[in-house]
Amino acid sequence: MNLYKKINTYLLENHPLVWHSKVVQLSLTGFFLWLVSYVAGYVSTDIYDLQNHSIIAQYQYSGYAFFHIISVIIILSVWAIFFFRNNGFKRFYPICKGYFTKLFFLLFFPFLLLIFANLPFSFGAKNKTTSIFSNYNMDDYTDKINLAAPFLVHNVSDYAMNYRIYPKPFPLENINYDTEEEKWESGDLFIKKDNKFDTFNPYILNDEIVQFGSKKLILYQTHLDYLDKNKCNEITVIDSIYTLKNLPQLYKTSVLNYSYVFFNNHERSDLFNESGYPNEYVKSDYNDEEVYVKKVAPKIHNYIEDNNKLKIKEILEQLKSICQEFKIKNNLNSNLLTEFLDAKEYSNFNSQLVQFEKSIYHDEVVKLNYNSKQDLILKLETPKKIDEYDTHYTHFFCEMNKLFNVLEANHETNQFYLNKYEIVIQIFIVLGIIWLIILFEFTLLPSFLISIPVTGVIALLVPLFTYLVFNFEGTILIDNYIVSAVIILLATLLGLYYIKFKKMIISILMNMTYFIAPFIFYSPIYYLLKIEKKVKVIDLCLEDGYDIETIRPYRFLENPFLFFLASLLGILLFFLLLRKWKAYKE
Amino acid sequence: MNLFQEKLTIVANHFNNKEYSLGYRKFIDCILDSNDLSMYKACIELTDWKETTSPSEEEIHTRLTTILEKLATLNVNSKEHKILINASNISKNYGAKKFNLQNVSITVKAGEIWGLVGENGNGKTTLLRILAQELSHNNGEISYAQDTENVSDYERRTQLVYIPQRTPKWFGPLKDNLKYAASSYGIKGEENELFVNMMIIRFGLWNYRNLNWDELSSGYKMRFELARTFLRKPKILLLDEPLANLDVLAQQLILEDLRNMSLSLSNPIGIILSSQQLFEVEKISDKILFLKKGIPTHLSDANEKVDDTCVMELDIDCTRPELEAALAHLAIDKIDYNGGIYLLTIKDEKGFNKILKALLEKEFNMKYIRNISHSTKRLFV
Repeated sequence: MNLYKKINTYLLENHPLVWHSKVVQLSLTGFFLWLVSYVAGYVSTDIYDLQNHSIIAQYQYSGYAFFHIISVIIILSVWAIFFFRNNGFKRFYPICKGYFTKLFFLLFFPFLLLIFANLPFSFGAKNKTTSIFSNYNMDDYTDKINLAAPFLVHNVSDYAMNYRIYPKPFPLENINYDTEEEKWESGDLFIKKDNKFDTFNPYILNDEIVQFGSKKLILYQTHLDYLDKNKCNEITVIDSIYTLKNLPQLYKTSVLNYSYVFFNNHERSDLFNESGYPNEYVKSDYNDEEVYVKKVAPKIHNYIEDNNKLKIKEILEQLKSICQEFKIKNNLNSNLLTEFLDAKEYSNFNSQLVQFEKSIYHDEVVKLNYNSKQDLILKLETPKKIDEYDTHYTHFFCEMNKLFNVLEANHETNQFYLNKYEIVIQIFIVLGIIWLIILFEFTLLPSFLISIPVTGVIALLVPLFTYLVFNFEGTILIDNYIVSAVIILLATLLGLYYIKFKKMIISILMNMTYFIAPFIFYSPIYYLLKIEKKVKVIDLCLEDGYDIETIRPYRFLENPFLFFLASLLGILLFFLLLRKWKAYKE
Repeated sequence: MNLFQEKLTIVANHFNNKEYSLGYRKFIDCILDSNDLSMYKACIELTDWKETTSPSEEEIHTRLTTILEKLATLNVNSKEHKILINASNISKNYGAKKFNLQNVSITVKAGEIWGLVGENGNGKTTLLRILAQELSHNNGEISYAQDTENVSDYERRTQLVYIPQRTPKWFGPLKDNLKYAASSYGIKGEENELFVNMMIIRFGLWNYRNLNWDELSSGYKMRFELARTFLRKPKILLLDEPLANLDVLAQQLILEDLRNMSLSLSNPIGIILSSQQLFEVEKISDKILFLKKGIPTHLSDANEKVDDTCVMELDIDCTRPELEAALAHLAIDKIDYNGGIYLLTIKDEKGFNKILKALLEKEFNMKYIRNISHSTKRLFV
């Protein structure tokens, strides 16, 4: 306590701005919140969380997001009470020229700590996950799960491609990973398909091309002809999507279909070291291009071809023990499977594995209908509780999604997950709050309240005026915004420096200027760079390959980062007017 | 003997006459004039010792004398009393049918106190706010001292301290607020602690320094405002009704403090204050400006020689005929009766003594008599 008093007194005597902003106390609170968040992340994460969702999503699923938001609101409310108590600016204490700018940046750090407390939570969750997985040989487990996966009933689409080696639900001969999107796009042979479909469920496009919705993953059947670029039409592609449901061609789905991973020259550096190529990759030519091919899941192919029942049984037993270790429900009967293999050709079993009647979920009932020896069909019905499962139908059931989630979680522990959009949004929140805090430090509430509807009216009138007088189209919001901003700014500067207004009017104008502060910065740029320019826009769907588009000079404002930078500069410039406004006579 | 030595002698005389309360306040003024941090420390230690141990007067006297001797060795020069505000023909219009302030001229020097008097709603606050740069005026010119001339409006406002009639609430302990004000004005580190403590002592807030706004009486709130104001080392101090809500003793004490602080050797300030407490204000003011309906009807100087008309107030147990009979031998110009008080006017420089003698001879029961010949009170009636 004495140390706290000493620090407080030191700041009070030597750094009034720091003392007034309570930035030290707020930062300490922010650090404490980080500590609490880390501990909460660590404590709240257990194996059940890893089964059900990503570690990244643990922040939302655990309920900590709610606690975080409430905590920040409470902390900032208490802080604001102390912050607004002592206001040197309102009392006409001398303030340095960069007072508001300093305050702005002083508050930035502790606010950042408070708003970004989800990061330590994720670190805690990630460390706990690492700690959980440290007891297991996850690479070995992954191999075992992959080996067992072809023999199970599960929703293949829920498992990320990174882990799913086998089986493919499609008769693919080769698989390409679209790791270098730009090169594929510009290549002669490949066309980038639109990737805006459902990101979880696989599609067959035009009955020929397969797409998994993973962000950069596009699969090709290399034996098929490539689509003609000139016929590329997004609408057509969308219209011709088929889901897997009742797709007649699915009979081809079989573990007997050999699969290969295909790499072209572009990806060579990622895969091969300088000393040479691993043995598993075979160099060959394809369409006059040098490619490298890997045969996938050769073990399974061999087991089935050799009818190695013992090995297949062992694979399922291994999976069973993994499920038990991870506390995942399963009903795996390895003996029954080998009996099936005896009774029928396994290729038949697997080739007729699925007749999808609807989407599969891990908690749905799986029924095995023995219509005939030759006709083993799995039918999926509406979800019921697992307890009600008929034991006949669940011999090959395992909550694979949970298992795969666990594997995903293990994979995520090696990644530092930062979503740039979330970060940008959070930084905007931080800046927005600080902006409002400083606004309320200097503003007078009546003028602030009045300025809101007045700004609204101007926002309505200016587009109308520009439309009527200059024939500006109302859709170009930025034009109208700039015109509004210039009008308000000029009126404010006029009032502050040349014409005597009533203090209330100048206060309203100042508040309005505050709303449009970012545009203070834009306006001169707009006029300086008013010359329009033409640029080439490459468009694959056009025969000549490009188009001429007019680019407005302030198009850059649509970029959020530049918008952010310009906003910041606008705010800082605006701060320069505050002293003048404060000393404005009534 | 320079002015500082003279002040020290006065302080020593107060102590010798056992006027410790008054002497101690003037003693602190001398310490503040010295601008010597070691003297500040000695004074603070002395005050703390005095307040915590309740020593005998002799013990206090001994320690005070020791410090006074040290003070006497310091060389303190007094600053020049230059013009701080020069306002000429200031007018402020609120509209044709409303109140207007007209043609007010005022020149305030450092070390000078101006009293603004007048009935309610006659422009005192308006004038103060105009001088404080808070309110704009329509006509006339205001110029400020050279050191406040070429600065921004905001910086000038930091030097023109205006204390309104109702002071705003503050939060947190009294001492923290004072420290914040001092550090904002560039008084940092050890000096901050010492200077703030000195102001706390000077305005009798030592035992209240850790209290909050809600725990202080109106008088101490005003003392706090003054302490905060003097920490800001203002050039000009504008006070609007500072005596309102204060008891008689507190009024006298604060006025006396203002007088002494304005005459500080190291930082003489100009003070303009408005008040309804005419006699108290007149006692400390160098000049009195009387405003009636926004017009300056009278400007008096404390040293000014007015005409030989004598005006006095009288509260006495007798009828008007009895009074007239008792004063019949004197050439009384006018006898007015207003609110239970007689107002007598006589064109005679020594009229007050003559009337008093006549009334004493008649042995009337006299409750109150006051010569208001030099007071603006006579302008109210």
